[in-house]
Amino acid sequence: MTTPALAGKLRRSSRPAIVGALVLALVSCPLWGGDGARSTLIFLAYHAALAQMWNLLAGYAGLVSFGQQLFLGLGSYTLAIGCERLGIGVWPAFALAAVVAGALAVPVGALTFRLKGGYFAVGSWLVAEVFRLLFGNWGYVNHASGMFIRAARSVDPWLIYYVAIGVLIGMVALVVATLRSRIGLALMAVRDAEDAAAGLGVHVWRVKLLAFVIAAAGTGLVAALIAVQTPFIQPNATFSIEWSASISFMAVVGGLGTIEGPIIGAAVYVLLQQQLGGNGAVHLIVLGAISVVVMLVAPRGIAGLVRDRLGWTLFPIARRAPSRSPPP
Amino acid sequence: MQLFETLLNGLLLGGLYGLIGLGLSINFGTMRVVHLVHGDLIVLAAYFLVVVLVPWGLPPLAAAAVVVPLLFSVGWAMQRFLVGRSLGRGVLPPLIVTFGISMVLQNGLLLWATADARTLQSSLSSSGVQIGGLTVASVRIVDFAAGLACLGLLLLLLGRTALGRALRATSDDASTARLMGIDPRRMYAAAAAIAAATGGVAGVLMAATSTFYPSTGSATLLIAFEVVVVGGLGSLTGTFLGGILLAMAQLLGARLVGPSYAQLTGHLVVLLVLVFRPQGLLPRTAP
Amino acid sequence: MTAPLLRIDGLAAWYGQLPAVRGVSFEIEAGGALAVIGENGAGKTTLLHSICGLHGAATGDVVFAGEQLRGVAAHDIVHRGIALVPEGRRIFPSLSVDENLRVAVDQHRRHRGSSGTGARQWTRERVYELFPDLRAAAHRGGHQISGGQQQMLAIGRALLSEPRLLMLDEISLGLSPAVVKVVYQALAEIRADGMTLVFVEQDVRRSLAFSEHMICLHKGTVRLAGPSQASSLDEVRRAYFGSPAR
Repeated sequence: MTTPALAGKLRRSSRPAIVGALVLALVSCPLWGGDGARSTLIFLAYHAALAQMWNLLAGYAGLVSFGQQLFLGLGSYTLAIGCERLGIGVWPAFALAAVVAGALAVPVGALTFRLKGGYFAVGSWLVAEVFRLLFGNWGYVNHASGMFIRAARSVDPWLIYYVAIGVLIGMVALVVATLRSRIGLALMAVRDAEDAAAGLGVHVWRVKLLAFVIAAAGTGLVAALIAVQTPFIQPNATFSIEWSASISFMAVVGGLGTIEGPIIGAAVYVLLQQQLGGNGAVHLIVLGAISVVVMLVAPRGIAGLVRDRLGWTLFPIARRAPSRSPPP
Repeated sequence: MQLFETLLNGLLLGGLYGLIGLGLSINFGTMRVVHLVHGDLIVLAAYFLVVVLVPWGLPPLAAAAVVVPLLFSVGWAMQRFLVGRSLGRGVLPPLIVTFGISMVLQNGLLLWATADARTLQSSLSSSGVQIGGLTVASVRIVDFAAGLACLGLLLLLLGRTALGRALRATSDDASTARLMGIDPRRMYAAAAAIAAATGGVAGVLMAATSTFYPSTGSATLLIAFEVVVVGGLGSLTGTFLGGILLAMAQLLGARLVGPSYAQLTGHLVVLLVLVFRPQGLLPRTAP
Repeated sequence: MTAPLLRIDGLAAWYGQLPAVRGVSFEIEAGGALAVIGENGAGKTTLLHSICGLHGAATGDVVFAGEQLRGVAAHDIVHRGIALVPEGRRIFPSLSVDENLRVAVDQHRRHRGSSGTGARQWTRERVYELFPDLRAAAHRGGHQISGGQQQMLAIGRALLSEPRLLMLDEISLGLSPAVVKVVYQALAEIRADGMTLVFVEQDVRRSLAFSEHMICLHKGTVRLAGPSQASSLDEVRRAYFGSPAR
């Protein structure tokens, strides 16, 4: 067999094997990992899921949002209010968080879609700010002082672990399925050439709103999961722009427009967290500086570099015109 | 009567808000980039004034004369070496680059100058003036005068000079501007430098008008954004008017609802404008 | 025999993977007039854009007055003496007619490059003499004047860069025959002044009548080239539509 054909054969057969091995390792974690590995993996899974949702918006729908913290806040507070004030169980509260976030995404999207490009980015941030201020002034949730979440202690950590892994795998599967569907094709057409897509009969607005709602629901769900492990939530933290800073960092450094990119980006983020420890300012300076450098020097991120240099990708869903070299 | 006093103070404070938005408007008009560092540049100017220049013994006016050219250079350098390289590949790169620089700047300021509240102590800050029975803070008169003067200077620059014509041509059609012999990158650098210089003036005024922290950069960016959106994309005069509207809304909110509701009222007014008149007050008339 | 003012050799240009111009070569002497004809999509505009630097992805030689221009930035090429009147006029809408002209003058003033070929240099006053219609509209907005006036303005603007070679892309498009006549009369005066012209023109008869030489493009290659009066209309038609030579 010639080398390109052999390489192609290897690539095709290796993908399921690699994915399978990863899933196996994750599922068997209690056997080989202790509490430290578990909490790191949970942290990684949540952040990878958040980055995946941002990637759906920015990498595939062309919507750069700096306002996802709105849905993070909504998700956390839905859980907090649900468990602490309304007495709902933790599991229904998770589902409710996703529903509330997804539902609110409709009017928010309808409003902010009137802004284009960078103005949409800041506009989404503005809406998040409004909610930060609203929750900070709301007596029911203790104003800016925040709320305790006692439900945190009632759930078994390994159960949380499997839920987190499940959520990540579920979101990856959801994104892959969406992108392989007609909606995904429409999304990428909108991203690449909105006017042309509209001319072809794509309901641009509807497609964008759908992506926005999915991303919001996913973000809200993850927020609730994070909240259940946090003893205490506050509006200034949960509606903070710093979430957008870390999420966009992960998505960009990992590689926008790929499925594995957000996961790689989350891994980089976790590593940085562990190296830089608790000093917020230094951590954010490093995030910012790396984002700038990556955007200028390697705009397609780590996954993009791997794809360009080695021609290999873990989840092939990109629809691109054939390059000069023949496909394997 | 109290209402008129609030409105008058809002009108005057609006001069500063309008000035804050002018820089964002210039950058967007020329490069189609929402420059996310603009708020932090203004705060940087304020810090430089209050933490470096004034302690060295410079009187505020002389210090202002130093800050503005300094910001001009910073804006130029940032464009030339960083932001300029992110152009031409869509909406995302300039947003990520400017957002990243903003984070570095804000947190750098935090490390260097700590999170203490800062302000410029001057005879203006605490005094008031009577105008027809209404009391206004003196510093707000300076805000309005300076903001109006900057608007006037910018309109003159754009309307009557060769650079201004070249900037407007680039803003209309960068590709055809090249056919005239204009180098768009030099125009972007000039626009960024001018925008940063207006930010320098705004920073000096902000230092005199209120207290600030490293994180004020984000709040300032949001003000600039709101002012441009309310005023109408593409019109400097509109931006200035948007500043007046926003300041009035904020001060009315503080007076009518409560001191902690100023920002929220402003935000809600902006969202209302977005719902009912998304093109803003004075949208650009040319196609 | 003097060296040609412009020599194009093996010029090729792509849009991504799609070749729009494939191996075009021709020469033009100072003072000459070359017509570029061909159907839509033949590559005429891409050819002009590649010469003046607006199109970045080009290979081959573009030699102007002995200097290689390929790879030089568009705004620099203007200073070296090539000006393009772009397809669709592309007037700056937020500038007045007079300001549109001044933009070109401002830039030329900053870079005193080669002076014009004519005995007198081009000035705003001279442009207003050439196009009296513009003088009346001098303070109106660029977007407020008629298509014909916009075309005159676009030509006047290009002249104020003091080029040695003037390229014009589809100047008769969308204009009434009366206006086209006026524009071509002005063009004749510009030519009489010594300007070298390369122009793309939809109206084949007019372009052949006005030019000395012609090239006919089809799918990015030159199918027919030579003196404008030499080829029969039938030969031109075949080259235009790409039918195989008989």
